[in-house]
Amino acid sequence: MAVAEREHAAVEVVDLATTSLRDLNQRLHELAEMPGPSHWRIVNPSGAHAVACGLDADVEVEIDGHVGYYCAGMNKRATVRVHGNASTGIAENLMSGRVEVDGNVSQSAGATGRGGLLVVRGNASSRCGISMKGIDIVVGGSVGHMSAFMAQTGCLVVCGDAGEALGDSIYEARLYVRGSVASLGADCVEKELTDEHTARVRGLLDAAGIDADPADFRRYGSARRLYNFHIDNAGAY
Amino acid sequence: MGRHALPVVLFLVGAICGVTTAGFAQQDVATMTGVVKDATGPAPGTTVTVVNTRTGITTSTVTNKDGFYTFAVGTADGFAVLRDPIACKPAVLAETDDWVAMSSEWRAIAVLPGAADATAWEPEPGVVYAWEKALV
Repeated sequence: MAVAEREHAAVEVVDLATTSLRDLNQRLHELAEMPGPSHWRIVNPSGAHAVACGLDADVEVEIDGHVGYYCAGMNKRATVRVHGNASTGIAENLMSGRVEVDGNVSQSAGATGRGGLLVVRGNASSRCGISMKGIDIVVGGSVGHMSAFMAQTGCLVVCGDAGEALGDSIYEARLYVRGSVASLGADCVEKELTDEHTARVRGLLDAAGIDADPADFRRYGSARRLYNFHIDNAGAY
Repeated sequence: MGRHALPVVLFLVGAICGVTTAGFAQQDVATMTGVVKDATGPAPGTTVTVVNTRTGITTSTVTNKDGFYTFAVGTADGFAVLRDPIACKPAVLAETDDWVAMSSEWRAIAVLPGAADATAWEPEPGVVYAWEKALV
Protein backbone atom coordinates (compact mmCIF):
# COMPACT_ATOMS: atom_id res chain seq x y z
CA MET A 1 0.00 0.00 0.00
CA ALA A 2 1.34 3.39 -0.94
CA VAL A 3 2.07 5.87 1.78
CA ALA A 4 -0.78 8.13 0.67
CA GLU A 5 -3.21 5.22 0.74
CA ARG A 6 -2.10 4.20 4.20
CA GLU A 7 -2.60 7.73 5.43
CA HIS A 8 -6.10 7.80 4.04
CA ALA A 9 -6.94 4.40 5.52
CA ALA A 10 -5.75 5.34 8.99
CA VAL A 11 -8.20 6.59 11.57
CA GLU A 12 -7.66 10.23 12.40
CA VAL A 13 -8.28 10.67 16.10
CA VAL A 14 -9.23 14.12 17.38
CA ASP A 15 -9.50 14.77 21.11
CA LEU A 16 -11.90 17.61 21.82
CA ALA A 17 -10.39 17.92 25.29
CA THR A 18 -7.26 19.28 23.66
CA THR A 19 -8.46 20.44 20.24
CA SER A 20 -10.88 23.29 19.69
CA LEU A 21 -14.19 22.55 18.01
CA ARG A 22 -13.42 25.23 15.43
CA ASP A 23 -10.19 23.49 14.46
CA LEU A 24 -11.94 20.13 14.18
CA ASN A 25 -14.78 21.42 12.03
CA GLN A 26 -12.38 23.41 9.86
CA ARG A 27 -10.36 20.27 9.15
CA LEU A 28 -13.53 18.34 8.33
CA HIS A 29 -14.76 21.12 6.05
CA GLU A 30 -11.48 21.12 4.14
CA LEU A 31 -12.18 17.53 3.09
CA ALA A 32 -14.68 18.94 0.60
CA GLU A 33 -11.81 20.60 -1.24
CA MET A 34 -8.86 18.27 -0.75
CA PRO A 35 -8.39 14.59 0.10
CA GLY A 36 -7.66 13.64 3.66
CA PRO A 37 -8.34 10.90 6.19
CA SER A 38 -11.47 8.96 5.31
CA HIS A 39 -12.15 7.74 8.83
CA TRP A 40 -12.24 10.01 11.86
CA ARG A 41 -12.74 9.31 15.52
CA ILE A 42 -13.67 12.15 17.85
CA VAL A 43 -13.18 11.58 21.54
CA ASN A 44 -14.23 13.61 24.59
CA PRO A 45 -17.03 15.55 22.87
CA SER A 46 -18.46 16.30 26.35
CA GLY A 47 -21.69 17.66 24.94
CA ALA A 48 -20.08 20.14 22.58
CA HIS A 49 -22.46 21.79 20.14
CA ALA A 50 -22.25 21.66 16.34
CA VAL A 51 -19.80 18.78 16.22
CA ALA A 52 -19.14 17.63 12.65
CA CYS A 53 -21.52 20.14 11.11
CA GLY A 54 -21.53 21.01 7.46
CA LEU A 55 -19.52 18.08 6.14
CA ASP A 56 -19.39 17.55 2.39
CA ALA A 57 -17.17 14.54 1.80
CA ASP A 58 -17.33 10.75 1.62
CA VAL A 59 -15.90 10.17 5.07
CA GLU A 60 -16.89 8.33 8.22
CA VAL A 61 -16.86 10.18 11.50
CA GLU A 62 -17.24 8.28 14.77
CA ILE A 63 -17.97 10.28 17.90
CA ASP A 64 -17.30 8.57 21.21
CA GLY A 65 -19.59 10.17 23.76
CA HIS A 66 -22.55 12.51 24.07
CA VAL A 67 -22.92 15.54 21.82
CA GLY A 68 -24.76 18.83 22.20
CA TYR A 69 -27.01 20.75 19.83
CA TYR A 70 -27.09 20.40 16.04
CA CYS A 71 -24.52 17.65 15.66
CA ALA A 72 -24.00 16.66 11.99
CA GLY A 73 -26.26 19.45 10.82
CA MET A 74 -26.37 20.18 7.09
CA ASN A 75 -24.42 17.01 6.42
CA LYS A 76 -23.74 15.95 2.83
CA ARG A 77 -22.38 12.51 1.86
CA ALA A 78 -20.61 11.78 5.14
CA THR A 79 -21.53 9.11 7.65
CA VAL A 80 -21.57 10.39 11.24
CA ARG A 81 -22.03 7.94 14.10
CA VAL A 82 -22.63 9.14 17.65
CA HIS A 83 -21.81 6.52 20.24
CA GLY A 84 -23.82 8.23 22.94
CA ASN A 85 -26.79 10.60 23.15
CA ALA A 86 -27.44 13.73 21.12
CA SER A 87 -29.14 16.95 22.13
CA THR A 88 -31.47 19.21 20.18
CA GLY A 89 -31.41 19.16 16.41
CA ILE A 90 -29.25 16.16 15.54
CA ALA A 91 -28.87 15.95 11.74
CA GLU A 92 -30.80 19.15 11.29
CA ASN A 93 -31.21 19.90 7.59
CA LEU A 94 -29.49 16.68 6.60
CA MET A 95 -28.89 16.82 2.84
CA SER A 96 -27.50 13.34 2.16
CA GLY A 97 -25.34 10.72 3.82
CA ARG A 98 -26.13 9.02 7.07
CA VAL A 99 -26.27 9.94 10.74
CA GLU A 100 -26.59 7.29 13.44
CA VAL A 101 -27.06 7.70 17.17
CA ASP A 102 -26.70 4.79 19.55
CA GLY A 103 -28.56 6.46 22.40
CA ASN A 104 -31.42 8.92 22.86
CA VAL A 105 -31.86 12.22 21.07
CA SER A 106 -33.54 15.44 22.18
CA GLN A 107 -36.14 17.40 20.33
CA SER A 108 -36.21 18.33 16.63
CA ALA A 109 -34.12 15.42 15.39
CA GLY A 110 -33.73 15.55 11.63
CA ALA A 111 -35.59 18.86 11.43
CA THR A 112 -36.05 20.16 7.87
CA GLY A 113 -33.86 17.36 6.50
CA ARG A 114 -33.84 17.15 2.72
CA GLY A 115 -32.25 13.75 2.17
CA GLY A 116 -30.11 11.03 3.68
CA LEU A 117 -30.88 8.72 6.56
CA LEU A 118 -31.03 9.40 10.29
CA VAL A 119 -31.04 6.38 12.57
CA VAL A 120 -31.78 6.72 16.28
CA ARG A 121 -31.45 3.48 18.20
CA GLY A 122 -32.88 4.90 21.41
CA ASN A 123 -35.80 7.28 21.83
CA ALA A 124 -36.35 10.61 20.12
CA SER A 125 -37.99 13.45 21.96
CA SER A 126 -40.58 15.88 20.70
CA ARG A 127 -40.81 17.25 17.15
CA CYS A 128 -38.78 14.47 15.59
CA GLY A 129 -38.79 15.08 11.83
CA ILE A 130 -40.41 18.48 12.09
CA SER A 131 -40.78 19.95 8.60
CA MET A 132 -38.87 17.05 7.08
CA LYS A 133 -38.41 17.53 3.34
CA GLY A 134 -37.03 14.26 2.06
CA ILE A 135 -34.96 12.82 4.89
CA ASP A 136 -35.70 9.29 6.05
CA ILE A 137 -35.71 8.77 9.81
CA VAL A 138 -35.74 5.41 11.61
CA VAL A 139 -36.21 5.45 15.38
CA GLY A 140 -35.66 2.21 17.26
CA GLY A 141 -37.57 3.49 20.28
CA SER A 142 -40.36 6.02 20.61
CA VAL A 143 -40.87 9.62 19.51
CA GLY A 144 -42.32 12.51 21.50
CA HIS A 145 -45.17 14.89 20.85
CA MET A 146 -45.60 16.90 17.65
CA SER A 147 -43.35 14.60 15.65
CA ALA A 148 -43.47 15.04 11.87
CA PHE A 149 -45.15 18.42 12.33
CA MET A 150 -45.64 19.89 8.82
CA ALA A 151 -43.66 17.00 7.38
CA GLN A 152 -43.45 17.34 3.63
CA THR A 153 -41.66 14.33 2.13
CA GLY A 154 -39.60 11.41 3.33
CA CYS A 155 -40.38 8.60 5.75
CA LEU A 156 -40.47 8.48 9.52
CA VAL A 157 -40.34 4.92 10.87
CA VAL A 158 -40.98 4.55 14.60
CA CYS A 159 -40.46 1.13 16.13
CA GLY A 160 -41.95 2.19 19.46
CA ASP A 161 -44.75 4.61 20.26
CA ALA A 162 -45.57 8.12 19.08
CA GLY A 163 -46.60 11.00 21.34
CA GLU A 164 -49.44 13.48 21.01
CA ALA A 165 -50.32 15.20 17.73
CA LEU A 166 -48.34 12.99 15.38
CA GLY A 167 -48.12 14.46 11.89
CA ASP A 168 -49.93 17.68 12.65
CA SER A 169 -50.50 19.65 9.42
CA ILE A 170 -48.62 17.00 7.48
CA TYR A 171 -48.07 17.24 3.74
CA GLU A 172 -46.85 14.15 1.87
CA ALA A 173 -44.39 12.51 4.26
CA ARG A 174 -45.13 8.93 5.18
CA LEU A 175 -45.22 7.91 8.80
CA TYR A 176 -44.94 4.32 10.00
CA VAL A 177 -45.44 3.48 13.68
CA ARG A 178 -45.25 0.00 15.19
CA GLY A 179 -46.58 0.88 18.63
CA SER A 180 -49.30 3.15 19.89
CA VAL A 181 -50.01 6.71 18.78
CA ALA A 182 -51.17 8.97 21.60
CA SER A 183 -53.09 11.13 19.14
CA LEU A 184 -52.96 12.30 15.54
CA GLY A 185 -52.50 15.96 14.70
CA ALA A 186 -54.68 18.05 12.43
CA ASP A 187 -55.20 16.47 9.00
CA CYS A 188 -53.19 13.33 9.83
CA VAL A 189 -55.01 10.04 9.37
CA GLU A 190 -54.25 6.36 9.32
CA LYS A 191 -53.89 4.92 5.84
CA GLU A 192 -53.73 1.47 4.34
CA LEU A 193 -50.40 -0.34 4.54
CA THR A 194 -49.87 -1.88 1.11
CA ASP A 195 -47.08 -4.08 -0.21
CA GLU A 196 -45.37 -0.96 -1.55
CA HIS A 197 -45.25 0.46 1.95
CA THR A 198 -44.08 -2.70 3.69
CA ALA A 199 -41.29 -2.98 1.12
CA ARG A 200 -40.27 0.60 1.87
CA VAL A 201 -40.32 -0.01 5.61
CA ARG A 202 -38.33 -3.20 5.17
CA GLY A 203 -35.72 -1.34 3.16
CA LEU A 204 -35.39 1.36 5.78
CA LEU A 205 -35.22 -1.11 8.68
CA ASP A 206 -32.53 -3.06 6.84
CA ALA A 207 -30.61 0.12 6.16
CA ALA A 208 -30.86 1.01 9.83
CA GLY A 209 -29.86 -2.46 10.97
CA ILE A 210 -33.01 -2.84 13.06
CA ASP A 211 -34.75 -6.20 13.25
CA ALA A 212 -38.52 -5.71 13.03
CA ASP A 213 -41.38 -7.03 10.94
CA PRO A 214 -42.67 -4.37 8.50
CA ALA A 215 -46.13 -5.92 8.70
CA ASP A 216 -46.36 -4.83 12.35
CA PHE A 217 -46.35 -1.15 11.41
CA ARG A 218 -49.31 1.12 10.73
CA ARG A 219 -49.14 3.93 8.21
CA TYR A 220 -50.21 7.51 8.73
CA GLY A 221 -50.32 10.40 6.30
CA SER A 222 -52.17 13.47 5.14
CA ALA A 223 -55.92 13.54 4.67
CA ARG A 224 -55.24 16.54 2.38
CA ARG A 225 -58.08 18.51 3.87
CA LEU A 226 -55.91 21.51 4.70
CA TYR A 227 -54.42 21.98 1.24
CA ASN A 228 -57.12 24.42 0.27
CA PHE A 229 -58.89 26.85 2.52
CA HIS A 230 -62.24 25.68 3.73
CA ILE A 231 -64.18 27.65 6.27
CA ASP A 232 -65.05 24.53 8.24
CA ASN A 233 -61.33 23.95 8.84
CA ALA A 234 -60.60 27.51 9.95
CA GLY A 235 -59.78 26.34 13.43
CA ALA A 236 -57.10 23.99 12.16
CA TYR A 237 -55.15 26.44 9.99
CA MET B 1 -29.95 0.82 41.25
CA GLY B 2 -31.02 2.66 38.13
CA ARG B 3 -33.74 5.20 38.63
CA HIS B 4 -34.82 3.89 42.01
CA ALA B 5 -32.02 4.81 44.30
CA LEU B 6 -29.99 7.96 44.20
CA PRO B 7 -27.56 9.53 46.50
CA VAL B 8 -26.78 13.47 47.85
CA VAL B 9 -28.22 16.81 46.73
CA LEU B 10 -26.37 18.77 44.12
CA PHE B 11 -28.13 21.99 43.34
CA LEU B 12 -26.03 24.29 41.25
CA VAL B 13 -28.23 27.18 40.30
CA GLY B 14 -27.96 28.18 36.69
CA ALA B 15 -26.59 25.70 34.25
CA ILE B 16 -27.20 22.54 36.16
CA CYS B 17 -29.47 21.27 38.87
CA GLY B 18 -29.39 17.86 40.43
CA VAL B 19 -29.34 15.61 43.43
CA THR B 20 -26.96 13.08 44.81
CA THR B 21 -27.02 11.02 48.00
CA ALA B 22 -27.23 7.57 49.42
CA GLY B 23 -30.69 6.17 49.31
CA PHE B 24 -33.01 8.19 47.16
CA ALA B 25 -35.99 6.59 45.56
CA GLN B 26 -38.02 8.00 42.74
CA GLN B 27 -41.63 8.66 43.58
CA ASP B 28 -44.56 7.81 41.41
CA VAL B 29 -44.70 9.98 38.33
CA ALA B 30 -47.64 12.33 38.23
CA THR B 31 -48.92 14.41 35.37
CA MET B 32 -49.43 18.15 35.47
CA THR B 33 -50.46 20.26 32.53
CA GLY B 34 -51.02 23.93 31.98
CA VAL B 35 -49.65 27.01 30.36
CA VAL B 36 -50.29 29.99 32.59
CA LYS B 37 -52.90 32.19 30.95
CA ASP B 38 -55.11 35.13 31.71
CA ALA B 39 -58.18 36.27 29.82
CA THR B 40 -56.04 37.43 26.90
CA GLY B 41 -53.85 34.35 26.56
CA PRO B 42 -50.42 33.29 27.91
CA ALA B 43 -49.47 35.34 30.95
CA PRO B 44 -45.82 36.42 30.96
CA GLY B 45 -44.32 37.48 34.25
CA THR B 46 -46.65 35.38 36.35
CA THR B 47 -45.14 33.85 39.46
CA VAL B 48 -45.89 30.15 39.84
CA THR B 49 -45.24 28.60 43.24
CA VAL B 50 -44.98 24.93 44.13
CA VAL B 51 -45.50 23.96 47.77
CA ASN B 52 -44.32 20.75 49.32
CA THR B 53 -47.23 20.22 51.72
CA ARG B 54 -45.25 17.76 53.81
CA THR B 55 -42.18 19.90 54.40
CA GLY B 56 -43.68 23.31 53.75
CA ILE B 57 -40.87 24.15 51.37
CA THR B 58 -41.93 26.37 48.49
CA THR B 59 -40.29 27.07 45.19
CA SER B 60 -41.29 29.70 42.71
CA THR B 61 -40.60 30.55 39.12
CA VAL B 62 -41.76 33.27 36.78
CA THR B 63 -43.29 32.53 33.42
CA ASN B 64 -41.60 33.98 30.40
CA LYS B 65 -43.05 35.77 27.39
CA ASP B 66 -44.77 32.66 26.15
CA GLY B 67 -46.19 31.65 29.48
CA PHE B 68 -44.04 28.54 29.55
CA TYR B 69 -42.05 27.32 32.50
CA THR B 70 -39.48 24.79 33.61
CA PHE B 71 -39.22 23.78 37.24
CA ALA B 72 -36.14 22.30 38.84
CA VAL B 73 -36.95 22.02 42.52
CA GLY B 74 -34.34 21.01 45.06
CA THR B 75 -35.18 20.53 48.71
CA ALA B 76 -33.32 19.09 51.67
CA ASP B 77 -34.53 15.64 50.86
CA GLY B 78 -35.59 15.63 47.26
CA PHE B 79 -35.42 16.86 43.74
CA ALA B 80 -38.12 17.32 41.12
CA VAL B 81 -38.39 18.46 37.54
CA LEU B 82 -41.41 19.65 35.60
CA ARG B 83 -41.55 21.06 32.08
CA ASP B 84 -44.50 22.87 30.58
CA PRO B 85 -46.73 20.95 28.17
CA ILE B 86 -45.22 22.51 25.05
CA ALA B 87 -41.64 21.92 26.14
CA CYS B 88 -39.82 24.01 23.59
CA LYS B 89 -36.96 24.84 25.89
CA PRO B 90 -34.07 22.39 25.86
CA ALA B 91 -33.67 20.14 28.88
CA VAL B 92 -31.81 16.98 29.67
CA LEU B 93 -31.98 14.69 32.69
CA ALA B 94 -29.10 12.42 33.56
CA GLU B 95 -28.89 9.73 36.18
CA THR B 96 -26.31 7.38 37.60
CA ASP B 97 -26.32 5.18 40.68
CA ASP B 98 -24.92 8.15 42.63
CA TRP B 99 -26.76 11.23 41.36
CA VAL B 100 -29.38 12.72 39.13
CA ALA B 101 -28.96 16.05 37.38
CA MET B 102 -30.86 18.35 35.06
CA SER B 103 -29.53 20.94 32.70
CA SER B 104 -30.41 22.67 29.48
CA GLU B 105 -27.50 20.94 27.81
CA TRP B 106 -25.22 17.97 28.27
CA ARG B 107 -22.19 20.26 28.25
CA ALA B 108 -22.95 21.24 31.86
CA ILE B 109 -23.45 17.67 33.03
CA ALA B 110 -20.42 16.18 31.30
CA VAL B 111 -18.08 17.44 34.03
CA LEU B 112 -19.80 15.40 36.75
CA PRO B 113 -18.03 12.23 37.90
CA GLY B 114 -19.30 9.22 36.03
CA ALA B 115 -21.29 11.34 33.58
CA ALA B 116 -20.08 9.36 30.61
CA ASP B 117 -21.93 6.32 31.91
CA ALA B 118 -25.09 8.17 32.97
CA THR B 119 -28.49 7.40 31.55
CA ALA B 120 -29.65 10.57 29.82
CA TRP B 121 -32.98 11.57 28.33
CA GLU B 122 -35.09 14.61 27.62
CA PRO B 123 -37.85 14.94 30.24
CA GLU B 124 -41.30 14.65 28.78
CA PRO B 125 -43.61 17.66 28.84
CA GLY B 126 -46.10 17.97 31.67
CA VAL B 127 -44.62 15.06 33.61
CA VAL B 128 -43.34 15.46 37.18
CA TYR B 129 -40.11 13.62 37.77
CA ALA B 130 -39.35 13.42 41.48
CA TRP B 131 -36.76 11.76 43.64
CA GLU B 132 -36.82 11.62 47.42
CA LYS B 133 -34.42 10.29 49.99
CA ALA B 134 -35.33 6.73 50.88
CA LEU B 135 -35.09 5.20 54.34
CA VAL B 136 -31.94 3.12 54.59
